[in-house]
Amino acid sequence: MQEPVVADTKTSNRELLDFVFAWPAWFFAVGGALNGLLVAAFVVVILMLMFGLQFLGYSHPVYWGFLIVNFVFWIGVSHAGIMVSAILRLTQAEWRRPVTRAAEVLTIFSLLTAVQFPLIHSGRPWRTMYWTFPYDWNRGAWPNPRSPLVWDPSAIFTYLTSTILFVYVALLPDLALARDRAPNPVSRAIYGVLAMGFRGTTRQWRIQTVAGLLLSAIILPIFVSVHSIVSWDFAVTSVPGWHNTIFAPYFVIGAVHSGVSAVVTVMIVMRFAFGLKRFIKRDHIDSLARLLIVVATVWLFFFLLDFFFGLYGTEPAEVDTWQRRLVEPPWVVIAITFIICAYIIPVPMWMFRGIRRNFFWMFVTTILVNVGMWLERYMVVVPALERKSGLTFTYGDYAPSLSEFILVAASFALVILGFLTFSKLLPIMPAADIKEGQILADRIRVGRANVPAAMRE
Amino acid sequence: MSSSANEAAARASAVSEMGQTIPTDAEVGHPEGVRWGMVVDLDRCTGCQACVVACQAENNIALNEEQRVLERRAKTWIRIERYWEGEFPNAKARFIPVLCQHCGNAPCETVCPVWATYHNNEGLNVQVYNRCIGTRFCANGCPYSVRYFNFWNPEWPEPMNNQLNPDVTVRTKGIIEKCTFCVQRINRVQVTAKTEGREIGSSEIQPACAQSCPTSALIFADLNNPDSYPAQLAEAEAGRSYTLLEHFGTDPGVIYLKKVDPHAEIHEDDHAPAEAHA
Amino acid sequence: MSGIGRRRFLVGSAALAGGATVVACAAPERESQVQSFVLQPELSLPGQELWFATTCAHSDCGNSVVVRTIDGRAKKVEGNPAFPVNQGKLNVRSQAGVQSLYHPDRLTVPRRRRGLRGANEFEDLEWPAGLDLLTEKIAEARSVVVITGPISGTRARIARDFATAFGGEHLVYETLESTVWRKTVQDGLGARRLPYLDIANAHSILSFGADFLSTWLSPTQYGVGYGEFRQGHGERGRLIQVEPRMSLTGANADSWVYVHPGQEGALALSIAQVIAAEGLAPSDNWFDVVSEVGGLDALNAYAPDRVSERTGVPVERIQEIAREFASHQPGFAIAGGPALASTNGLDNGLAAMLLNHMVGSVGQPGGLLPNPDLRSTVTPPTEPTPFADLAGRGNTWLEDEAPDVAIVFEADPVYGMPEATRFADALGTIPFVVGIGTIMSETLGHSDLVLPSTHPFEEWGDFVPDPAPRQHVVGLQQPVVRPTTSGRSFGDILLTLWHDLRPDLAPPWETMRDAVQANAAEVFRGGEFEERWVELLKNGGGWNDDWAPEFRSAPNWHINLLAEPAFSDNGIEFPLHLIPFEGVALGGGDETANPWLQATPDPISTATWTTWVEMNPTTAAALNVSRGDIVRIETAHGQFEAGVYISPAAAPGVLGVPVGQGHAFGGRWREGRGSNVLASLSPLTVAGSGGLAWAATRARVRPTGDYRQLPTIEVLPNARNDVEEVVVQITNE
Ligand SMILES: Nc1nc2c(c(=O)[nH]1)N[C@H]1C(S)=C(S)[C@@H](COP(=O)(O)OP(=O)(O)OC[C@H]3O[C@@H](n4cnc5c(=O)[nH]c(N)nc54)[C@H](O)[C@@H]3O)O[C@H]1N2
Ligand SMILES: Nc1nc2c(c(=O)[nH]1)N[C@H]1C(S)=C(S)[C@@H](COP(=O)(O)OP(=O)(O)OC[C@H]3O[C@@H](n4cnc5c(=O)[nH]c(N)nc54)[C@H](O)[C@@H]3O)O[C@H]1N2
Ligand code: SF4
Ligand code: SF4
Ligand code: SF4
Ligand code: SF4
Ligand code: SF4
Repeated sequence: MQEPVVADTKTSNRELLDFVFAWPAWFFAVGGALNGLLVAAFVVVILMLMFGLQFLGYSHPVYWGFLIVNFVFWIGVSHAGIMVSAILRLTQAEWRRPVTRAAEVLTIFSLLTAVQFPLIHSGRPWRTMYWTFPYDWNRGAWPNPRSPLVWDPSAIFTYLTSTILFVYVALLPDLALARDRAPNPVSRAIYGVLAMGFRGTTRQWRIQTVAGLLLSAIILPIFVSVHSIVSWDFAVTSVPGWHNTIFAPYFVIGAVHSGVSAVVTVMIVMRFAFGLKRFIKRDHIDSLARLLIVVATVWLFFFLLDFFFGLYGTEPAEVDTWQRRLVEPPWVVIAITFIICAYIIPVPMWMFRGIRRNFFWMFVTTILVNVGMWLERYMVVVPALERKSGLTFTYGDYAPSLSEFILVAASFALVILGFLTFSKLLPIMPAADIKEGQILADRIRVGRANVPAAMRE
Repeated sequence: MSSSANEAAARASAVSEMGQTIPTDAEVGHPEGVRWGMVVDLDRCTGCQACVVACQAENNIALNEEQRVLERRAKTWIRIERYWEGEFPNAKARFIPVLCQHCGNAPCETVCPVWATYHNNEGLNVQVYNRCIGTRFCANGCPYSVRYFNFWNPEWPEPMNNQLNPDVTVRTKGIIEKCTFCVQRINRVQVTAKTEGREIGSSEIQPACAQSCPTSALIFADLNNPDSYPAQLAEAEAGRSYTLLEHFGTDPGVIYLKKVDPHAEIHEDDHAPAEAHA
Repeated sequence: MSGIGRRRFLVGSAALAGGATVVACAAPERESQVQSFVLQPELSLPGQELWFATTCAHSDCGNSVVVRTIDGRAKKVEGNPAFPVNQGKLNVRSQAGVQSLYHPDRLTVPRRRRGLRGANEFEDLEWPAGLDLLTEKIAEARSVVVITGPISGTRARIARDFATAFGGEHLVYETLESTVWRKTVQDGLGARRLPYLDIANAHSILSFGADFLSTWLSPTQYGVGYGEFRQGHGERGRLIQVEPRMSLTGANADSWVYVHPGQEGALALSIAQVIAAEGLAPSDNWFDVVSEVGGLDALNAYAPDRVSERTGVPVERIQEIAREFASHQPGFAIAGGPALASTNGLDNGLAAMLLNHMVGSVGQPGGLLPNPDLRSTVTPPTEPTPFADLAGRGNTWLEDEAPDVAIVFEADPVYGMPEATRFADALGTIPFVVGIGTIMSETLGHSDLVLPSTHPFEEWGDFVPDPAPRQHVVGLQQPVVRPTTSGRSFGDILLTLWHDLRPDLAPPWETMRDAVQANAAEVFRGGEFEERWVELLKNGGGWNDDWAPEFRSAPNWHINLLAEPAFSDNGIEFPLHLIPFEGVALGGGDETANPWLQATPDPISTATWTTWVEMNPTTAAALNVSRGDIVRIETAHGQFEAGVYISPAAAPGVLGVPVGQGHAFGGRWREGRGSNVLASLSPLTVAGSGGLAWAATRARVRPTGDYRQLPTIEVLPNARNDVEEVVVQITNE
């Protein structure tokens, strides 16, 4: 069903590596703008370090807000990449080839961005940086193994490490490619080192492939654990509206929902930004959209479960939290917006082939999904704190300040900038992988359908 | 004690306890040993706020300037919550002092990644300021919302700083603080009693709030000591005693005695509305 | 529970072998001064705490405190466990003593006026220069008037005698003064001194507007009693509070009863009528009592059905109150607050007093008990100069002649006197005004010379608690730290002047310390005085059970005298009643410089730092205003702005406004916040006592369209006990 990529090795090499060595004007424009945002955020963070968190909208008793929401959001996005490429690799889905690299890179940068947030959000980041690591610094006390905030760093950094390995292994052949195509000795030297002497011998290919597969297999459980643990930051507390057993799967599937959508968005952008028309095709978007329909629906199911668990418990505070989330202004507005953006609009649209294969509409819908998913996290985290227990005297409201908006905006800037930089230094399209696909494709046309597949890896 | 006493105490016991094992919920509360606690008689409390200022004075709590109140970042380790019942002319104001309940089963403790808040072997929910990294996770976990975050470094214009209590740490920006049951006073008395080789008198230890309270609505002592006045009071007033947010199962060390209103119709279920007026 | 371990604080007092050492051993000269273990000022080891007993710095309620000092600095104020008035307990204001001691805006040196009066332009002076200036002015003066707040003991004696010696008089200004209650006690009980309320042993209290748990007379003393009243003895006491605006005491009442302003007397008589008609009084001598004040017929005119409309209290409610009160004896009735601050306040008070005589709680345990007369050697507490007299003085000064010099201490009439009395102008006619205090105030701002006084924790003195705790008590005041400013105590300043100008008439003592010691020697005779003196300082004073006089058997009054209340202006233009009230923390306004007290939430509204107006939801709806809206409150004699607080307890047609804000002087935390309700009051007086009828002003409300978030610690408006969960659980025992 997939229409294969048709291009001779030369053109594909050129087109795939084109951007790495080219310097289009828009690159500087966009880069400049994004850096501007980062500088603003940097100023805010410095101020927070010097004068405390008074610039944030937090107050008693609502001590968590935008920054934590944003943390959860980016952890979520980070799941797409690995999940997509690992699963697709394992299932050897042909059409995955152009998708994987972008997905993995997205994962790395959204993870790196995500971990910033619990840090700057804490009162004394300079200590948070190392005190939550499982090591007995001179405090006479190991970190508290009962606290999810100790599980978090372990899970996240394991995930980060394995992801980087995963990408690096996949990257090796292309690094070699870049080394061979590099215009000047300097970059040649650099790529040379990075390529670790990959010369494409059969043995090297075998090792590389096996390593890739193994990592895929290892990473999947890690990625499930990561977002489960993030969900436990909430689920293990006694806060009504937070302490729900459903949270782990609910968060994981939500992460996949927003992540895969993010991948689609990124691919569409790449197609036009990097002129990869020949490699990113309607089929890819189409297949991802089908995947999304399933994911989104499962996610919706879990959301409703969370809601019903809340109601069936008939715990007054719990019910009150749900009432606040779904009925009371301003939350009713957010609730409606999020469910419309994350499900009601996109999923029915994806039912139509025409839309699934339309870059513009897929771009719009996937963006909508992530808007919705961000709001979903906001709605999960904050109202519960605003209406925590029966002591209505201490009910509070949360209003984010300018600082929070800057920091959140900057987090998007950081991810995009990271993505751009990467694509500038290394082939964002897995050239080798794609070419392998072409070669296999040629074979397939010769032999009987699917048979050559047996001869693979 | 020139350095902060609660600091020191918390450190000491923290190290010894954490060194071996993590206290389990069973150990917490230490049925055999001391458990510091408080009995709050709502029928005595008038809402006069003396305890609130006493606590501010004793514990170096930052000034709550108007801006802080407006931002809802004012810190009061003990606060008088006022709940309304009914409408004019039958409106009734109900006052309740809310401080850290020093829960035997504290939701704030389990979530602290760095043991900055934990249960010591005298039933206190201790806050080790030096360790706290300001995640505010504990504050979310506390159903009573009695944990307060330091959004800035406190300032006392000269010469106001002369008043600061040398027994109590001044909290810096970025950490959580809360009622300590005036642990510095507990320590002073314990040390004195030890050096004088005697037992601690049943009502010798007085937290600032209890000391000030004109109506003696706040009574502090060792709940595990059957001879202590609070223990006896809670016993004698069994009919009136209850704990706050009982259904959270936090096993509070603060026992409240119900307000008496001869003209009220009573609803036993504390989730049911109490439209109770003469 | 003996407050702070008695032992510890004896250690402190042991330091007092001869008070002089106390001063000697107090704080280092400056913060930066360095001591080492080897070279220590006597008794001040780093980290070593010392406790000194002295007077409470903030409240006039006769509390004695012990102050914890470390390294010569005052750290914490606690109740003096030995002292019979507060028995180791304290109220909000007493706690804040240390903060006013170390207030950054305290007056440090004398200042002479530069610009116009009240323009707040001053230049610093050296003490000698300041004193010379003053001496010279007084030398020329024909008459010198001394204006102080309510003071007692030696200080009062010096002030009074000084004024007389220099051909003037001693005026005592007290915000929302206690004049009317004092007169009520004289006429109703025939007592010279305020009675002791045996709250602890009472089974019921019927209070007409007296906010005795918050600010009325001696709240700490009463608070201690209240605790026992509720849970101290077998039968739990019943508290019935009758008032137009719910006070803190009202908020704690078992029955809170709204009554139209000024109608408390009528209600009291109606209750009396029910007691008579239903024969609820425990003994029969109620008949004689009633006969003495007009007889049954006069009383029957006040049958519930006759006064129900007038008082706004339903007939059954009146009967319920009567039964609840009479069936829970011993118990007593008192009157204060708005009840006594109506033009007919004295009648209201005496009507309430009649109830005591009827149920026989006068002079009985659980009722009103007489306080012993003061010994001849003790100067009685200065009684506040009635508003009428003070305003009268003002007019005399304006119209014909004013004294040449006024010395003002711990009193702020310029702030507190209604603008209609033009008291500021009156003071302006006095050629030379000297203000003495620890921090600027409106009155000091209108002075020609400002002298910094020592803080109560830095000076010598004595005081006579009023009302006394059934004992003959003289409290002692000693320095607990070395003075932190160049200030001198009021007494010392007067003595210095006196000895300079009229050595012939001057008292024997050179300093307050000598004076206090000498007087103590007179009052507490016997034994070797040095020991006695140290003992007295340790305990914070001396007290004995003395013989107390009998009360009169019935009020000297006639029921038919009960007048209808009069109010400022007409009820059409000004449809609402303005009821000012003293907050538990800010009181009359002297405390507003103190950030702890500013930040202390008002128990009812939980508001801080500002001036608000308590409004009934319907009143607010009619005006189309809601919480936080800024409204302008206009009276016939002025106007001011306040933020709306909508209270389910506020009566329709009644505006409750806290006293204390709206200062132009007094440091960073006091200046320019909120507004001063007192200034806009109408200068009506209480018939027969000359007190200010501060609850007799009518007002109207104009929305300004502005909004400002109310600084309440309660985040969402009006948390209720009956949503979510019953937080304050109730039982009807
Ligand atoms: N609060 C406060 N803190 C301070 C100071 C202060 O004055 N007050 N001073 C500071 C200064 S100047 C210093 S030097 C440090 C000192 O601080 P530390 O080095 O802690 O000195 P100590 O607490 O006196 O002794 C430490 C421990 O050594 C034990 N010890 C005694 N003799 C021996 C021995 O022979 N062998 C071993 N193995 N242990 C022994 C003691 O019992 C004690 O438990 O404290 C600093 N910190
Ligand atoms: N029993 C017993 N005795 C001991 C010890 C012990 O463990 N037990 N420890 C010993 C040891 S290790 C030490 S270091 C000594 C410490 O003994 P000391 O040298 O006396 O040290 P401190 O007790 O800190 O007192 C020093 C004085 O310096 C003053 N000071 C503070 N800052 C400054 C400043 O900036 N400039 C100046 N000029 N003065 C300042 C302080 O007010 C204090 O009064 O004690 C020794 N003696
Ligand atoms: S934290 Fe402060 S008090 Fe504690 S040991 Fe270190 S310096 Fe001393
Ligand atoms: S001091 Fe006592 S009576 Fe006053 S509010 Fe606190 S607990 Fe209640
Ligand atoms: S009241 Fe809150 S802070 Fe205190 S122990 Fe319980 S949970 Fe922790
Ligand atoms: S804020 Fe401090 S005490 Fe609370 S959980 Fe974080 S580290 Fe622990
Ligand atoms: S026990 Fe101490 S710390 Fe806790 S509220 Fe009372 S005074 Fe404050």
